[in-house]
Amino acid sequence: MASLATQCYAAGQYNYQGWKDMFYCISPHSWAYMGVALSIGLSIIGAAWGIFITGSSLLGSSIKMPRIKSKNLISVIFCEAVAIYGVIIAIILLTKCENLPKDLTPLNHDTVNTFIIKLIIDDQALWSAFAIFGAGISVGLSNLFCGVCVGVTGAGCALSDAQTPSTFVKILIIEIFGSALGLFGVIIGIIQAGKA
Amino acid sequence: MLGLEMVSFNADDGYPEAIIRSLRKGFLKEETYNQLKACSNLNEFKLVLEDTDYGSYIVNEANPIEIVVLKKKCKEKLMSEITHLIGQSTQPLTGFLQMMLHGYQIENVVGVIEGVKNDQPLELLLKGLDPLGYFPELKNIRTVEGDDYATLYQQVLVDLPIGNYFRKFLEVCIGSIGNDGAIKKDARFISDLMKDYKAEKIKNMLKKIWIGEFHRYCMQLPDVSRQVMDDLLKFESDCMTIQIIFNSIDIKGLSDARGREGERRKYINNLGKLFINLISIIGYLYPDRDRELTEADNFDKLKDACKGFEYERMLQQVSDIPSSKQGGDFGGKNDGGANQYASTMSIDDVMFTEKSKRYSMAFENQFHYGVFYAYLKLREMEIKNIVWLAELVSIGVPRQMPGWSKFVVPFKYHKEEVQQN
Repeated sequence: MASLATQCYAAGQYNYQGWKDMFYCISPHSWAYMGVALSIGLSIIGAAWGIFITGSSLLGSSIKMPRIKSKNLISVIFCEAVAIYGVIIAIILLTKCENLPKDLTPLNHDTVNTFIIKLIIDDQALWSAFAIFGAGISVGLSNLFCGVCVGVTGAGCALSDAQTPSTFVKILIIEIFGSALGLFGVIIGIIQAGKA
Repeated sequence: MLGLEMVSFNADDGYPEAIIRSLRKGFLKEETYNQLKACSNLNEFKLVLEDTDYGSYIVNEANPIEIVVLKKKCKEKLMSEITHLIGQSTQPLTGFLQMMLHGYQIENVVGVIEGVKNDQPLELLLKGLDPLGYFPELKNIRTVEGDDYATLYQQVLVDLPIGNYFRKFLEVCIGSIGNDGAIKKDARFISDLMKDYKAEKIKNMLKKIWIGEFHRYCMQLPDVSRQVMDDLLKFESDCMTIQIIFNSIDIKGLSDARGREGERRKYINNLGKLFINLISIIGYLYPDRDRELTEADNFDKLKDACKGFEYERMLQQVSDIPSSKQGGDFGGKNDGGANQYASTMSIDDVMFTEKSKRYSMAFENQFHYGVFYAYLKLREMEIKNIVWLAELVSIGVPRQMPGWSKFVVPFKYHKEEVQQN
């Protein structure tokens, strides 16, 4: 499928088309690496946020009830897993980035407007870059909220375990469901970036 | 932050909240109460208590422990927990915790002023104070001599943590006295005023101001804290109102038409247009039932005034109704010995039970400040229970008396209700 840029070029319209051109002027490499950064960055924000929500509650509870401290590290590990998802996807996306053509020289040197020339990279590269970017956003955001979710549940888990030890396993199951949310994002991210 | 307490609350307040929630585990269980009830003397009583959280505070006391000392030690334990939390918290929680204690501080300050007035030695006074309301500046009150209340106010009271309430109190009083509209505030006036008011009245007014200020402070807090505290304070304020009206029904000066409009209003939290501009009025009954409550001069009218609120249900449980009590006094209703042991619920018992339930419920929500307040109140109730049982044990009241069951175990009602459903 021919991109908008190619259509413009074919029609001989080299001029500014509208604000949407801005996106085409950004190098595909930039998009791709932005996706990588978002996937790891947002995941880690989510994980860190979850750990501090869980951690501060765990810390306070374990003063009176030291027995809960090692048991409830599981909540922290669940939050940590969210960051690991981000790292895995970031690595997968990085290998995809290497498939992008290194050499993005313009196809046609005759054109006056250099910005428009840049648009005429091959469509496959542009498509891959956006796919990687999209995958990065899906993984990053889903892991951000997954981390917060697991963190809040983990805080509740620590508090209730201190009161009634029998609730620990029950809340842990809820926490596992929470941490599955991040996994959904990871699956979609892999599919999204699959053909890139 | 946008109502997202779940996300942002723990950044500042997660640690103290978790501490208070794990302290909740330390509340005496029903079994402990049963053990306490089974004691035959105070030595055994103390032995049972030593196995609880109170242990380290009372273990070094001489046997048999005096009830006054027992009470003081229990309160000291509670106070040390609260001060620990104040040390571990950041604003606005620190302010909240400090404000929570202001009510007790008001009682202490008024008590000390009253004692100094009667020429009691300050050391003795300071020993007898409620540990919950103790603060180091209390010693400064010593500097006042004789009747010089203006100096007392200007030099000591203003600098206290609760000086703000005293300032408002004076503004209110002077505002209400100077009917010409001009608010005079010279020193002579203050000393006249302080002489006129009885200590009890000053205390009531100050507490009224304090509850209003506390409520206002809570209104600035994030969503969940605000809702929980709003409910607790309104409920408490309503309870106090109903109790005051209930208790004043039999008192001539307060329940006739003039007393209802004037004197009684001054004690009531959420009635009182007198000072509406200066003291914020809180409570669910205000302003809807303001007129009905003011006109209530017997129990049925009071019940009608609360119609539609849960207070109606609470009042229905009350068994010693003031007007029927009169009948009993004059021999109109002779129950004999049979009914003597039947359990009766006075209005205090009903309110106590309901409050305990409310405060327990505050623990059901996470990420809010209400738990701190509820914890303080529940512990205070627990200490009341312990002291009550200690007194029964020391006097040796027969087992079949209804007094033995007059204690309230927190977090119990919820469990019962859940099981019923």
